[in-house]
Amino acid sequence: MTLVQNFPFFCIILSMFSAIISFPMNHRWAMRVHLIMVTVVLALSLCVLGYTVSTGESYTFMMGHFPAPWGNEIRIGVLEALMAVFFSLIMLLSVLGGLAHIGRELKNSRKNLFFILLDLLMSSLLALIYTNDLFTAYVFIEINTISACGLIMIKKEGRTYVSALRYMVMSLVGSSLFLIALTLLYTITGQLLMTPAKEALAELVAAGEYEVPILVIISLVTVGLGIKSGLYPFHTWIPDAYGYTTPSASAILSSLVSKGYLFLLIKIFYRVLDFEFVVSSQVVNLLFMLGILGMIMGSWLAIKTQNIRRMAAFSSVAQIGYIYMGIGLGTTAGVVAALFHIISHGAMKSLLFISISGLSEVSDDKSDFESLKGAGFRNKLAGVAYTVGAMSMIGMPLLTGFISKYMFASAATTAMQGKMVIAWIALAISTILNTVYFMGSVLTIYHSVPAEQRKPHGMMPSRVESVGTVGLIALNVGLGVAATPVIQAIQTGLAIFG
Amino acid sequence: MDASYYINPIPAGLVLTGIVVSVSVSALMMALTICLYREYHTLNLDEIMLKLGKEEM
Amino acid sequence: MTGNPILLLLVLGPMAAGIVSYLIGRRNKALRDGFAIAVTSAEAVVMLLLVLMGGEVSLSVPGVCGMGLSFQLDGFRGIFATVTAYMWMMTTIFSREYLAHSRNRNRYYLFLLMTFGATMGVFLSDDLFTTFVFFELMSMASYVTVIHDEKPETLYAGGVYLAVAVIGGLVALMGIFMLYSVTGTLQLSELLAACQAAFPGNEAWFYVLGGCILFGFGAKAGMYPLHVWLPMAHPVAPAPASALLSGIITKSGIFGVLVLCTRIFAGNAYWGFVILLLGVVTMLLGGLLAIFSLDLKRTLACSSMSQLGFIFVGMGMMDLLGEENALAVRGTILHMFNHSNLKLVLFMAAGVVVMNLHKLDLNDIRGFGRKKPLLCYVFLMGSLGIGGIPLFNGYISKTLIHESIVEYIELLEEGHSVVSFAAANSATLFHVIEWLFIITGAMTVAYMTKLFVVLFVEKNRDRQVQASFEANTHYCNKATAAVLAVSATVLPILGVLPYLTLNKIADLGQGFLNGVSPEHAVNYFSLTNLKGGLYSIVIGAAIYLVVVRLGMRVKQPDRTYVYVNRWPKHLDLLELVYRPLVLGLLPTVAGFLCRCLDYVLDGIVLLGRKTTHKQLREGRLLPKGFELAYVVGSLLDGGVALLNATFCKRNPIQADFVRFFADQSRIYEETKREVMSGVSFSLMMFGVGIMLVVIYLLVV
Repeated sequence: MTLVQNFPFFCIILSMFSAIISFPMNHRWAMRVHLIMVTVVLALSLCVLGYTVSTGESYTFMMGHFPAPWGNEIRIGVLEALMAVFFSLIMLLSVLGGLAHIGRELKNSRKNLFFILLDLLMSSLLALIYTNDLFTAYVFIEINTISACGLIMIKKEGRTYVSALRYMVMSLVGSSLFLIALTLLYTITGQLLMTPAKEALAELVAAGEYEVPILVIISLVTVGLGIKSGLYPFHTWIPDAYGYTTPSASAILSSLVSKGYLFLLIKIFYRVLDFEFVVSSQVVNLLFMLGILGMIMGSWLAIKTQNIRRMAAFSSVAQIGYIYMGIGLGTTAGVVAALFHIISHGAMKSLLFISISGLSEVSDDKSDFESLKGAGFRNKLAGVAYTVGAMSMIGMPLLTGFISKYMFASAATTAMQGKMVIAWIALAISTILNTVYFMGSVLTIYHSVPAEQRKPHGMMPSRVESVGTVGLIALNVGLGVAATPVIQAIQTGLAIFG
Repeated sequence: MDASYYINPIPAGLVLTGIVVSVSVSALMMALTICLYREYHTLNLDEIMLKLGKEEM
Repeated sequence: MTGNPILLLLVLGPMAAGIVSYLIGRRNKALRDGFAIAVTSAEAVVMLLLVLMGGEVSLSVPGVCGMGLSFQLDGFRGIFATVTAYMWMMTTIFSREYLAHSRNRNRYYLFLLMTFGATMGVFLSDDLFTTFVFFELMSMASYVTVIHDEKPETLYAGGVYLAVAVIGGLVALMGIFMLYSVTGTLQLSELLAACQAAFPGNEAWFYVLGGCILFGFGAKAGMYPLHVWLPMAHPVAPAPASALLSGIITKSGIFGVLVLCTRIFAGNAYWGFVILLLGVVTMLLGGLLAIFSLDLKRTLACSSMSQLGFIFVGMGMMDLLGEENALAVRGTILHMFNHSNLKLVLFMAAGVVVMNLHKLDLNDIRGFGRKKPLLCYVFLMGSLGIGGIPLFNGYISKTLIHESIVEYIELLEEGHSVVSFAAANSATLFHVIEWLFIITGAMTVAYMTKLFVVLFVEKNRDRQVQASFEANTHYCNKATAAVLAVSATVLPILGVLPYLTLNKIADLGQGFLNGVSPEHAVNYFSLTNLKGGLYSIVIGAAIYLVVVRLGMRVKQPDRTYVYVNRWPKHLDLLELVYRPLVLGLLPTVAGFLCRCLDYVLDGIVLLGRKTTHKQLREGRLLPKGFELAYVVGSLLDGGVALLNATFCKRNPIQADFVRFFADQSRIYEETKREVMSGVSFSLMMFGVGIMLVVIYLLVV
């Protein structure tokens, strides 16, 4: 066991520990601890990524002294390490990008709570990425939910309470479904660790026993995690949840929280249920249809709103629809495209939310389109950042959104004929719809206004925020230009994932 | 030492974890409810929605 | 990265220079102008050297931007890259004076140079993916230069331009993906063989993807029916940008269509016929719009559309003639080359007029050109060139295309059934097309005469204005004058010495189009060719005298004439078809599915309304905005009144349907709003969702 192999465990423990020790600290120290922790996690994850890429295989790490199948373990491969790197990078850049807002919008007594919640969120995300045990996954799903709920209602206003309430109710329904599925799985296989459970399930499937319970497990897991990640009919909590909280929190919620659950879903599909079996059970068709519905409905709802934050939230629904469509194609290429989109959507959405906050803070803190006219002139960096993010979402070449669309289109060619045509048509329609509302908003923020409206009304952005914004822009452009190593890493990782 | 003399400890562990999770979630929801009441002086969701709508204007 | 990195420098250099010029411009405006001119001139010189040195240069950058970029410099691409650089150099020099009093010049130069880099990228690209990447970048960057003055009409025209460019780009992307999945390659050098191999058996796919790619690139090239942005965007853009838009950016669209014609559908007669027909319609429509237009730049824009139609005709003939298409190939290349130069001259001349007068309407600029020899010379050269007058460059390329049509007719009349479907075998049809070609040439002469006469012969109605025009001798500074003179003089040189200049260019370029030199050298000044030119001139004069002088001029009381707009106002494709389609029908269709779902949910909601969410009816005022309710209600009201008047005279039915429906709609909307924002709605959706999942998995 080399030192590097211990790093994932260190990351999880470090983030939990920093959450615990931040309790008695004042907010400045809590912020420093958080930032240091995320940077350390990023560095350690990069080392792990380097290690796993060089060895090319995944290894398991025993938590405690009991071996599988009795004890708990985490499993680290190329894909997990890559996800950990990106999640920590996006969290770091989002927090930097919204740091001044946190300073302004929250009371001092509550600021350290914010960072504690972020620490817990980091730990739960890392655990969801690395875990090899279903029940640990459930526990960390709950930790994720509770910290996300805390992040939603950290600004104590009426609006956020209602959004948090809605979020909690829906999330808990999702968790309960997941728990029921877990219980069923345990009852029929007697295993809680993913890899032994897979073997046991394979035996059951081969023997033809328990067909209906297995189908029920698949459906409950899908619906449960689908609710939590925003699959189409279950998306109604998203606009309220993302629209009204601090910008870092919106960025992290939309980019990371739902993606943790998506990653867990893919992990369960590969490591517990065997992807071939999932495909043959037709649940992928359902995910495909719901994903496409989400893509189109999300974009259509986004066109109708007048508030730029809600528009970005609805666009998240559409993007998550893309990811589900990718999974729903039922082929490896589709899942690779979906995984790449998880990363690229994280980069794009956090950039959008950070720049939206930059734009509204110089427009009297208003988020509706009327007040945002000409905001691009008041805050140049935010305007450029928003334009880059919007172009990326539309799919301009040289930016990461284009690579995602290209991957989805080429993954569609590997699927069945019918799915390929539907996927292409849906991609085309949703790209046109995306263009309509994103171009509309870019033109609005650069709408020509008389000179006195070109001065900022309200706060000016701070240096640290600019660092975060520029970092996110660089990430978008970098992924757009040099996506090939990332895609190759995803492909290698997926091959050893199961 | 026949294994059938022991009950399976895992369901007990699962249930206990479930109880803990439920307790924390219930605590959180109760805190939310209190905050909501303090803000709107009612717990009827329809009325809260109406008041929210008025706030938006 | 394998190959010669100078190509990457040529493409990315201007983009970087744009950013640098923006930064310079914040400190020192004059330095920025000089820097921009220096960059464009340097690039023009480098390109010229590369082309003169000959040989092929290529560059491949794998792994970047998804599929990797690849560039190549060969004869054809070299010609057009040089033309691009030359045009940018000229217009940048002109921009210095044109925009001297304008705001936002930093932004203009930034995006001008970015468009430059992107256009070079299109013309130097070696695989369709690279072409597409830079094509999109070019569209986006040129949008900002088009909307430079930010007036409402400009923004509207810019919006149309952007919409056509983006939607066209997306459709073209779909086509490119389909092509990739069918042939497995997008490299221009491999595409011909790959398409020939893949074509049999996949014909339907090929036509679909060909249609998609044509949609995207043809929209940029001003092909009917996607031309709607052209007559709007050119007049509102600043004149240097219009020159570039008309001269070279449309050629990038033609580049894409050329790839379609010479590699994907090489020798395919059906395709050639379709392109030919589209070209004929485009050139005729452009000519008509140009004759009737009252706006200087709009006339020139429609003229561009017409000339692009000529190029499409050339491309169509290229595919119809198959193996013997040397004339069509050379004609296409040369007309692209000539038209770029011609439009550069004409738009810059128009720019000088606008710069001084800030007006575009023919009635306002009338007589401006009198006693201005330089402007007169420049405009005359451009007009003669584009009109196809012998001894000027336009004549050469038009003759070549005309000859290709004649050659095809000869082939048909000799009994060679060149193609396998009846329409393309009809010699009559092609005689008609030949005459349409000549007539369009005539129309070109007519509208250019119109412009020339208005500017340089007639006097303005207002004598004082005319006097001020004639007194204005410093209408452009020396740099602009030099640029105008140089670019104008190129035209007659090309026309008088075609064997030395244009033939060489055609030789260089034809390899790209897989063409060969003609069997016998073309004698441009032979009697038959000159006859064709003469027909155009005579008919053109006739059209001018009849249509313009008689039809469009209305005599005023003080015995002078005013030009009026005779074009029917509502015959506008954009307003009639596209706006309702894109802004009305498509979202409705796309929303239809969503609305179906909505109605299902609303049904559940209303059910809940009747049972669990009962509420009181509210007041009786008729709210505004419920059109559907109003229409249906009034229909029913009318029905009731009719009934009352006829059958039920004794017991009239008391009913007020409008009110009833309005009430219902209002209740419906309110309920929808209420319930949708509640938590219970989320749970209801969840219920629906999980039922769907379980039913699907267990039953299906």
